[in-house]
Amino acid sequence: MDLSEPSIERLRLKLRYKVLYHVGHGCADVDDLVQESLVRFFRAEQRQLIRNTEELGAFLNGVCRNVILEYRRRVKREPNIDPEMPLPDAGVRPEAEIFEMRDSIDNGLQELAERDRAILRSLYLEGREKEDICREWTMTDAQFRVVLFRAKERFRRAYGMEMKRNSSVDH
Amino acid sequence: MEERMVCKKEAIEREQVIAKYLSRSLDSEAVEEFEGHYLGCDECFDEMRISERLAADLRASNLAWNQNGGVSVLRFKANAELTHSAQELEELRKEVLEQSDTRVIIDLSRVTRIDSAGLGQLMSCYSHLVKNRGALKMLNPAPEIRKLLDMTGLSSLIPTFHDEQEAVSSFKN
Repeated sequence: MDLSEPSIERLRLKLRYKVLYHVGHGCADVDDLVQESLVRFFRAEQRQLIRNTEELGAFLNGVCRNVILEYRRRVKREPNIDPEMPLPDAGVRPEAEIFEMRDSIDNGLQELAERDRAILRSLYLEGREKEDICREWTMTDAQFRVVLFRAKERFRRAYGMEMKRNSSVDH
Repeated sequence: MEERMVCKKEAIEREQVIAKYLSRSLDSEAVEEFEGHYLGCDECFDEMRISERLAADLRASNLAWNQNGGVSVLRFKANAELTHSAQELEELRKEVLEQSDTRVIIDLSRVTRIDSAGLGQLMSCYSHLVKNRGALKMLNPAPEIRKLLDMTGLSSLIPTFHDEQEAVSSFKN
């Protein structure tokens, strides 16, 4: 298994997404939960408990799930530790992070037609089915695909530029 | 399981899984399956991050104003949450506090969840508008939102309507 620093940082980032999804952005213990998951994962790796490297993601997911469950049990048992612990939120990022993120993407949505934005909102904010959206807007699968991938392409370019910038800062 | 081997799926199907994950419409089993996948798959993780940015921008542009009989009506274009961590909350504050018109109706029909932070934000919008010789009315809250507004006494302070024309006319009284 690749245990180079960039690979570990990548795993840390992925775990952070999972943990935030389940405990919410207001939780002060996110970094501890991520660290604990990583430590357990590497311990298992050292003991050669991960036999099938193709199932690495599923194994790491199981480790992280247990860490989150134990954390929840502990908080429930000892509520005085953090009486202000917020409930999980809707999966959105804190404002500061969003504004920081948006600085780097040159607001690609502004160039989209209002109809395209409405279609994307139905998909990403309301979680509606593609078929349902196509029916509402009387559009074909191919038209839906164009709207979706045209929008994603704008963000993909911005994301690529940001990744490049971050890696040049790291070096 | 539908989400198995998500990156082997056709691109549009994968995007649907990601979109449902981001909007929290996947069931818990599918969430586990998808997380187990992206923790081991860089490609799907990157796709999810790109989509998350797209969703964040969509959320930020989720508010729209229109005029009705000299009154400004603020609407959400898609379902929205007014909760402590939702971006819509900050957008709502900015929209109401930074515009010059002080006769405002907020259409709550697409608000699916509200918490104390959301109620507090409605309260500060109300205070700001009243201080500036205006008024705030609310339109079409869903039954569960209405219940919360009633329980907290907010609906007795900020008049709530189910008909937009009625809400607009109330400003003339």
